[in-house]
Parts: sequence; structure tokens; C-alpha cells
Amino acid sequence: MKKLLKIVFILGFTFVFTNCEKDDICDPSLVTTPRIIIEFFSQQNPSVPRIVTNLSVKAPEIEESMFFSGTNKVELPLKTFENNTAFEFTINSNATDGSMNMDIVHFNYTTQDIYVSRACGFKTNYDLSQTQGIVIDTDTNNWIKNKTIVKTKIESENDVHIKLFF
Amino acid sequence: MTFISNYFFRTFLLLITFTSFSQETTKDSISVKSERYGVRAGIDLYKITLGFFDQDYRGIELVGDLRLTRKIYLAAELGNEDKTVDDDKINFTTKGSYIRLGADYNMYENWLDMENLIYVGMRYGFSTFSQRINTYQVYTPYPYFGEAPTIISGENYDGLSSHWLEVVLGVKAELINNLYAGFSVRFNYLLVNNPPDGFDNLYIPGFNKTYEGNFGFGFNYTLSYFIPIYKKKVKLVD
Repeated sequence: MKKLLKIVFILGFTFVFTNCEKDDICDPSLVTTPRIIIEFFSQQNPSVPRIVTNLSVKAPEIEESMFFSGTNKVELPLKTFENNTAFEFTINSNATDGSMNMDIVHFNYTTQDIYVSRACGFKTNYDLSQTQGIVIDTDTNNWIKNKTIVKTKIESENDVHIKLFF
Repeated sequence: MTFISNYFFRTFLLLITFTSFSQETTKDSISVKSERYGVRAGIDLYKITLGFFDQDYRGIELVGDLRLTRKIYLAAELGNEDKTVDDDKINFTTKGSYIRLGADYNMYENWLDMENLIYVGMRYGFSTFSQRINTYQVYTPYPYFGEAPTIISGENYDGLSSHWLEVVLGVKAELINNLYAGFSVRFNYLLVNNPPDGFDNLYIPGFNKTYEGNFGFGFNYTLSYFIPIYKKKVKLVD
């Protein structure tokens, strides 16, 4: 009896300690904070997608740039902790012949934090302002000529939110 | 001579009666013993102790059982917990009370007058509680702006409740007169769980941590006192 009790108690302790390990990793199949999806189209023929040559996108306060080549579609992470995010869109970013051109684009939105799971925590959904959702700083030579908000609610990466024309 | 033979005969008779009598008594003590029936009341030492060492936890669990038959005990636990969980992404506080009702079946055949238990049991559990999100972090799969800052929330969800079933495996051993030490492990299965809009029941008092599915685990270390009420004689099968 004493032996049996000892075994049960030891089993119990083992159970308690093995139960303490971390078992939570955010499941990648869950929809978490989406990026804003932007597609580029031809200014002359707005229904024709147009590829941006060596597009570099960078936030002014961040050193690192995001590069996109051979695509007319870019995905950009917005700030979850502020109501606006600015990006420098540079076309021909590695050109040395002076064709490099940078436009500053501001995104203005409201955020909503939504619970996902214990391991993922929360996600942020964005709602672009109807009128000020996207603002392009006017400079002497803007390469982005026009803009359209396709969808103000940014809740997944399956939709296109913004169309830019150049 | 006759006197002597008579003496022997009488002694012989007496011996027979003695032996037959003693035989009867020994037979009695083997086949019949009396067992005590009563209630046992106690407390979960683990929850109390944890409260001293972990400032994020405060809890108490009262335990009790009532011997119904030789093998079956009605059992209940009543508790209250106030627990703050600091996960990687969420820090939240759960507060609430619970009750678990059921029965235990003693599988252990005791020697002589020992009254130990190795038992299996079932419980129905019910808890009412509240949850408060203290802080959280937004998960960004592409952390271009670095890891998201921790946000202070304070969002509170009241009037939550859950129902579950437990399978219990445990021991109770008598330390000294009527004082018992016990240990049990529990495998829980959520029956009804209504998470609030915008959050989940990540911890349920009495049920403990919830997982992806409906399963959960629990345990307790109890110290309890047995109050005998009456005795019953039982016949043992050799």
C-alpha cells in the first residue's frame, strides 16, 4: 500500500511539472493583422495592370526598404499603433541615370483590435478614411498620377484596397 | 482412579468447549469486520500554498465526501479562484467560483481496520466567473515596424459560465487518526462554454486552462478530516 501510494504521488508530481511547458504557437493559417494591398495600373489605360520597375517602399523612420520587382501588386504592413503610416514609393530605385523618382504616400485610417487566439493575441483591422485614406504629397515631379480607394475596410489580404495609376 | 479419569474427562470437555468457542470467535474476526461511515471535510493545500508564493494567484478549494456504501462515496469540491495569466500576447485576470459534484469508487481493498482509498470518480462541474483583459499585443506576421507595443485594455467580461465533466483518479491515505492526505488528477471535458463576444474563456475557475479542444486537466493535494458517524459490519469473502 505504501509503495503504491508513493508511486501515485510521484506520478502526480510528474504530471504537474510536465503540464507547465509552453504549447502555444500562433497558427499561421489563422487570419491575423492584414497588410494593405496596392495594385498599379496604367494611367493611359486604367484597366491595364502596369508593372513598376524596381519599386522600393520604405517608411521614413525605418532604415530597411521593401523591394518589389516584376509585379504590379504590393503588400505593405501598416502601423497598428497609430492612425497613419507614411511610405516613400521609389520607382527605378536602383537607377543611376536620374530616372529614380520618389513620392511620399500617406495612409490615414482608424484601427480596431480583434481577439484571435491565446497564442496569436490580437489582430488589427483598418478602416481607411473615405476622403483622406490615401494622400500623395505633391512634389515637382510626381510619378504616381492618380489613386483610387477600392475598399476602405482592410480585413484580409484577399482583396485589393488601393489602385495607383502611373 | 475414577477421580483421575473423571478429572481428565472434565478437563477434556472444558478444552473442547474452549477450543470450539475460540474457533468460533476467530472465525468471526476473519469473516466480519466493522467499517466506519461518515463525512470527510478538507482543503486543497496546493491552491492555498500557491497563493502565498504567486502574487498573481489567490484560490481556495474545500473538499468533502460522504461514504454511501462500502465502495461508493459522494464527493464535492467548492472553490473560488482569482488568477492572472501572463501569456506571451495576452495578460488577463479570471475571477470566479465553482462547484463540482459527483461520486468516487474505492478500488482498494483495505487490510484489517485501515481506511485508505485508491479511487476513480466522476464529477459534474459548474463555474461562474468574469474575465478582464489587462494588456495585449497585436500579432503582426510582417513586423516591419518592429514588434507591436503592449496595449493596456481593461476590457471586462462579466457573467460568464461553463459546465464540464471530470474523470477523477486519486488516493486518500490516513496519516494519523482520522487525518487524511489526498491527491487526485482530473481529466476534464467542457460541455457548455459560452465565450464572450470578442474574447475567449482562456481560464475557467475549477476547470483550469482551456485548450483548442474541449479537454482540460486538473489536480489537487488535499488534507482532510474524517468525522465518523456510524459503523457497519461487513462480511468478507475469503
